[in-house]
Amino acid sequence: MTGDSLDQLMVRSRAGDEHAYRLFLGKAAARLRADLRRKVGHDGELEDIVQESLIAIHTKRHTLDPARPVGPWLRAIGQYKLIDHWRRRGRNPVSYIEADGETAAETFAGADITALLARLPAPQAEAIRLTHIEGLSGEEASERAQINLSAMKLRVHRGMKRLRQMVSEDEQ
Amino acid sequence: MTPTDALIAQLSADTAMRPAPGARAFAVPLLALMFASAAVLTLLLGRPIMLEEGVLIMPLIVKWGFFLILAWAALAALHALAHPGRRADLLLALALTPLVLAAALAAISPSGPSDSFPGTTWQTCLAAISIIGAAGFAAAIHAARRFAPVKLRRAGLAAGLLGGGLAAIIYSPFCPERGAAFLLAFYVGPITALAALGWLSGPRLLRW
Repeated sequence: MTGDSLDQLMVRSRAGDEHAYRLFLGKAAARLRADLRRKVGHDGELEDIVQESLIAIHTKRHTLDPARPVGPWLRAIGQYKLIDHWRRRGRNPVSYIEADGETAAETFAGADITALLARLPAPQAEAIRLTHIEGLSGEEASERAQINLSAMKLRVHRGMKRLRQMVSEDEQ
Repeated sequence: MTPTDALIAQLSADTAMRPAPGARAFAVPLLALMFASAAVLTLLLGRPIMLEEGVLIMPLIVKWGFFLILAWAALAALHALAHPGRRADLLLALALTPLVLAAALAAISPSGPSDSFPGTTWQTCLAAISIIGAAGFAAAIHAARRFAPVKLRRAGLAAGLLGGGLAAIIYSPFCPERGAAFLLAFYVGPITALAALGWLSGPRLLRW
């Protein structure tokens, strides 16, 4: 049972075993990812919530009663960080500009971004240019393009998705 | 190495763990508050009226019965809610029961001509329950923050009930009033307001 192994790793971590604690956090991350995947579609967003949960677990691990199982504690913290995350960014599922930004830096490093943008539909290219090249916030970009914020986020999201497809097609 | 792996490597290097906050995290500030507010009430109002000769002890026992159950259940609920993964719904329901009972009692008890509502001390009562209750609420929130509450509205509600319940326990011996309507208006009223305040402000006050 995975719950048992988490409990045992936590016992050893409490005793100061760094290796056990590293294994614990790795297993905890996998467990959180499995729990949250159904509720979070975007991989970058999922990893952010997993990371926030790991930091929370690390910061608050001294408050976990050693006599109690780790599993329900871990799951409750994951749920809390998911809700906290939603609360902070609003419930719009396509509003994940930051994650798209990270992807941009990693995926498109070295690619000729101007040439790629020229192949996108003009509104999407403009949305990405404003948010990721000029560095405007979602609000500023939506004002500049004279559309509402959700529409701007949707354009960025779709544009980034299309860009990723183009890059992977070009690589093949 | 993914960013999550890098984070795990960074976190796991720090194995030093702080000591766990025990039940003392709640007990010390709340008991200190109770003693301090009892002392202040004695300074302001004189010695508790319940210590005077010839005063019926029954109203005090009824009040203490209500509010001891309320405060104990709210404390147990808050302590459970301060730990992720523990359930506290039954305890919260138990903490709310005295409030509902007091309302029911006020509804069914006939108001005789001798019960002059709102009485002469209602302002003192309202002020005492509200002020001591708010201080108790703040102490309870502060204690809960030392743990890891994840159901913030419920934890805020429990903290509000706890603060109000403790205030009622402290003020009851100083209170000469004994009508059910008084209990409802000037005890249950401010306690419910504190509970609502906790429910509304929990996500803001307890977020971590």
